[in-house]
Amino acid sequence: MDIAQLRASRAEDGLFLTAQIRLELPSIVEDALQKGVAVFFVAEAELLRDRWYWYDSKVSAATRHMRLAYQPLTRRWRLNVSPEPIGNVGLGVSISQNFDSLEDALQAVQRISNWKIADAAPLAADARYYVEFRFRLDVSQLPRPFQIGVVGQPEWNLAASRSLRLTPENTQ
Amino acid sequence: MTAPVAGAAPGRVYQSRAVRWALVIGAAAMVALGLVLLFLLTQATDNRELYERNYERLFVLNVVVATLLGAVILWMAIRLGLRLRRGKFGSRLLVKLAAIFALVGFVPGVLIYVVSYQFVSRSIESWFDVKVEGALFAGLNLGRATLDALSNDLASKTRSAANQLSGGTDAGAALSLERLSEQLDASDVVLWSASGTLIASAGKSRFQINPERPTAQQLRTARSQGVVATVEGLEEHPVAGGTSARINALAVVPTSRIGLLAEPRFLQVTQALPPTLVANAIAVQEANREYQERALGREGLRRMYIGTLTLSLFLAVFAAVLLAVVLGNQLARPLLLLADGVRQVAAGDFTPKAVLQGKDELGGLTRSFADMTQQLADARGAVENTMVQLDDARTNLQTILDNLTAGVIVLDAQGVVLSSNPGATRILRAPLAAFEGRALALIPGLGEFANSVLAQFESFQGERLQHGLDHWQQSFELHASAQGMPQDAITVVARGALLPDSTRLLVFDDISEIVSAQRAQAWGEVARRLAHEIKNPLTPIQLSAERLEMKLAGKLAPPENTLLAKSVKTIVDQVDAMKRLVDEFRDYARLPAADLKALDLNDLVVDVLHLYGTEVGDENSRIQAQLDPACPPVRGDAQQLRQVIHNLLQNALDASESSHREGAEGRVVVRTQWVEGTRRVRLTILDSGSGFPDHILKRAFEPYVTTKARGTGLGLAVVKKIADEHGARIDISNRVSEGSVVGAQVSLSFALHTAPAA
Repeated sequence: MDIAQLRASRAEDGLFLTAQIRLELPSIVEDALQKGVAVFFVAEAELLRDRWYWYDSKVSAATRHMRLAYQPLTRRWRLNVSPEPIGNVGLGVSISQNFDSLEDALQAVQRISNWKIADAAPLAADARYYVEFRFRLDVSQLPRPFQIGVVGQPEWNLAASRSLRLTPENTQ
Repeated sequence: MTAPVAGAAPGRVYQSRAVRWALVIGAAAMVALGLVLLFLLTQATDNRELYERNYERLFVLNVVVATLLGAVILWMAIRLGLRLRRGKFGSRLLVKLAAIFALVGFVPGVLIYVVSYQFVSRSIESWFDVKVEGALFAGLNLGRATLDALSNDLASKTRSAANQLSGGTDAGAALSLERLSEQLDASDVVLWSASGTLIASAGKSRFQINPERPTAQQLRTARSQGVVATVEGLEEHPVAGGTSARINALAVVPTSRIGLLAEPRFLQVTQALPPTLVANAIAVQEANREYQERALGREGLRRMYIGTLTLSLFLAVFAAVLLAVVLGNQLARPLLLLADGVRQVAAGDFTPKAVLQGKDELGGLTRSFADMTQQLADARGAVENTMVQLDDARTNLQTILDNLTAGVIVLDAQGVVLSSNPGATRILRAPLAAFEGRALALIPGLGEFANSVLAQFESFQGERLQHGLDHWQQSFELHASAQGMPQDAITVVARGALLPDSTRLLVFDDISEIVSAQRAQAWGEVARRLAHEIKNPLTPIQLSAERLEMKLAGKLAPPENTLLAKSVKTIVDQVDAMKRLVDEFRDYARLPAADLKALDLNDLVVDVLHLYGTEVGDENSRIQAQLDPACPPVRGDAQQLRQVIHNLLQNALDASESSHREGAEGRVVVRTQWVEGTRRVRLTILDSGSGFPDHILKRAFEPYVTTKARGTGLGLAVVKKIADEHGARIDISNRVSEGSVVGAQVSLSFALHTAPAA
């Protein structure tokens, strides 16, 4: 699993991020999905400003939680996307999509386009910024016994990260 | 002496007590904390939500507590091990106790753990069996099949309805849709154009401004397959009051006039699903999901339970071991205290021992031990006191023995000398100390004495049983040889007794002088009686003889007259001689008590010499006086001392005369001498006679011992007696010059008049 493409674009109303993730689910995860277990993915993006004298300061951060679940009754795949942690009980405020196949659903998961990660205001012209982007399978939202069970299983440990230096060229 | 010890002991006890309390409180707190955590853990296991949310935190907390306990135990174990290695007293006992308690805590814990482990792993496995899974799956399939059937049914109906509509125009569609809606029991019927604009509708969507239009994909699928039916709104978590579950069927309305209207129209029929069906289906789906989750997560579940169990085991065992060490310490402390005390006592240290205040038997034991030690110390003190007293007594006894004039010898049954005192050495004139451990009979000159003593002891032992005597007494003559009285013959009186340890005690005293004195006294008595008896008839005999001569003188014939005169003269002379003899006897026997006064011995000698017609300094005289003018006055009775000097001079002259006849010089010397060292005045009378034979020399001062043919033998006896009265020492010896006897000498040494005062 890695991040194939990462682009940032600055617009009037903020900074937008587009990313393409290459994701191949291990068979054990796919098996769990097929059995109806909901799997969560988290995409995190942080906008950081360089500071030579201290840790780099965090200008803004954005998180996108995704919940992918199979519904055996209708044989369809459902993807919920929310900026808040979703959880199993209440789906909360989320946008949901239905897919007929796992591939289609994963395609939707893997592609993030024009995701607003920061308002335009905090970006100063003379400072240097970079974006930290992370994408991972969120084990912490799995059922608790599952969590304890997957401890030490590398198949469940899916994560990728990439950082992007913001330059005038690549943000246009 | 005991004060610092008594002061140090409570301090140490106090400190160790504080440490112990701290330890106990700490251990109790940790155990209590562990128990609370364990309780929470088990409580949380009941409440799934709480449990799953806080499991990790609880687990970590428990791990921390267990680690703390483990660290404490490790520390204790290391400490104990170090103590053991250093051979610190009592560490073995502590290790033993701790091991026993730990075992008592550990074994049941492990047993329960093993059983619980099996139980948990088996029971978790038993939750997930094939039947349940199959049933759930079947339920799911059932729901799915039902939904499929419903949607297929609706699809076919929609399709036939669409075929009916194919001829109609858009304007007339609304009516037929209305009819269709009733016919199909649909909640909504919509006729869409190919571009997705609403042509006509019936039912719910009529009241909506912008009803939900089919997606492009649905339209595509419908165009290719003729009809498509989807189940919608079947969420896992149906929102209350939201869209209910429904079946959406979309069918292509065939175009009747080919070419006129290239764009096909779509008929959408929406039918609500029965709520019970939806609820059941969703319940089955949810159950299936949860079942699958748990089935997949059963490993984690197992780990969770077993982790909890293991942690409980660790907590319990650690707590048990900790308690074991603390309790073991508690139990071992009095024992160690006792053992330490015993060791000290064995080493001879009787200082007061530490005491535990506990009310239990062990505390009582320590108190009893302390009491016992105290008693031992007291007893030892008493014994030491007695020993000192005994030593003193023995020293006293030894001093007494050493200064005893009597001789004391301890013998064993074989006559071996075990010990002796200086008195014995002096009396027996043999180095007894050198013969200790050897037989008495081996000492030269004492063989006979030793044999006699042994014989006495033997017979005494025989008689003792019969008569109950506790000693025997016998006098012995030592160094006695065959002829007469040797000069060094000793008369001893010996007394024997048995000592308690069956050794033999021999006490003896030199009674030679006593024997001599007794003899002299006996003679005095004899002389007095004899003189008295003999003197009485002497005067009548003399008077009768003189009267006979007076009456018959001239009346007899001359020859008879001559005979008479001669006989009477003989009688008178002999009676005179006898009178003199008797007087001497009487003098000896009835010597008056000496009247001791200050006396110048030189004057007395000069005075006596006058009687012999001799002047001091007369070279030609037979008696030469050598007087020391330095002589101080002595204590003496002038009358008696005159007698002494007279007797001695007479003896000396007699002796000198007898040798003079044989052609010798025959001189007598009287000498006085002041002896500074002994502070005595010495009077010496020397003659140049033939000296004394040895046996006479020994007993010269006894009466009737004489060398003279006509001597009474009382002269020297009187001298001796007077000298004794004066406390003067008297010696008689032969003068030896170049190996031959050239005369005899008698010397007396007198105490000064002032001597007793000085």
